[in-house]
Amino acid sequence: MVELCSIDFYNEIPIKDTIANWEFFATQKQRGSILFDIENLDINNEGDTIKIVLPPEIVEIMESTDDESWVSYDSKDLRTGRWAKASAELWSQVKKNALEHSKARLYEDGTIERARAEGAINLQELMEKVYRKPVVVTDPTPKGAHYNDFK
Amino acid sequence: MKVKLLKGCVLASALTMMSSCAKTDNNGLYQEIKSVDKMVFAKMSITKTVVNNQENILGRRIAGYSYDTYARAYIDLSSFQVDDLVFDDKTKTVKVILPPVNAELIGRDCEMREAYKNITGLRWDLDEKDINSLKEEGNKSMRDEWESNPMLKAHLIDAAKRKARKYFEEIFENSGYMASIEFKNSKIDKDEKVD
Repeated sequence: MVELCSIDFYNEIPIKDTIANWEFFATQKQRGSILFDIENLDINNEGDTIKIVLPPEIVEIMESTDDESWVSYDSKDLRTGRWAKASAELWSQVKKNALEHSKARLYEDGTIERARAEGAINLQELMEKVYRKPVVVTDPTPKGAHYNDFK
Repeated sequence: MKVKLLKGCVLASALTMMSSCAKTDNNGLYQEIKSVDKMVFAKMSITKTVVNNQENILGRRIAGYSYDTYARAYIDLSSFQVDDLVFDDKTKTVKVILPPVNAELIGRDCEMREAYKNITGLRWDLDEKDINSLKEEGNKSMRDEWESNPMLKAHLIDAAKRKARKYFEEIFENSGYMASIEFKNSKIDKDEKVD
């Protein structure tokens, strides 16, 4: 495994979710990175210019290891309209959903696009040092290889 | 007197409620996006187990959970300069002086895996807040261990160095050069001794 990391991000977000007649409110601190696997790059070394294709992005997003990275504030049973204790299993689903929503937001707000643009530059600079030739990094999916999965 | 005292109590209660709300409302949206230029060569997961073990006249409550925290080892390419590559075109060799390998924690699993549970008598099952408290204790303990136990990081950093050597040796071999790979130490300057 060799991965090039072009963006690190940190979020503290409020979470409001509705699952199975329950409404939840919590906060989560998330930490993540956008990386590219450069161990098996598609490199064309014929000619005076090296041509490389930027691989698909790897989006890692997890709960942070800071204190109070998860704080659950409220759960409401929508059938009664009152506060009630939801099960730990439902809260687990809220946490999973929170990470998925954050991943989708990275595609929507252009963070992935920025990471790919910066990743291409980082890769070009590294490979120009190694090969001592001009390097062109092309990006077949500037908005993200998995952009359509989150549209 | 009674009326004044009552008003004072109501005001004190209102102020307490307002300060509690203000603390909660401060958990607003915060986002930080940082451009970095890191090469990651190794990752590992560290499993932490936490146990709630309580016994009183109402019964026993024992529950064990585990979850993973993740770490990675990387080099910071932003400090990797052209001068760190010394080519000898006659012998077709290159000396590569890489930045030091650093290790950092990158996050943890959201969920905890239940390993064991035994609740007897009149004791309540653990709820979301109980489980979160256990996880917070485990998190603090894990972070302390990460900082105080050099073996944890050393293992990861060694794996990353081996991988980095192999990666750069192969990449230079593909371009016709035999590479010798060295790493700068993290606490010293480029001109000083490297390993």
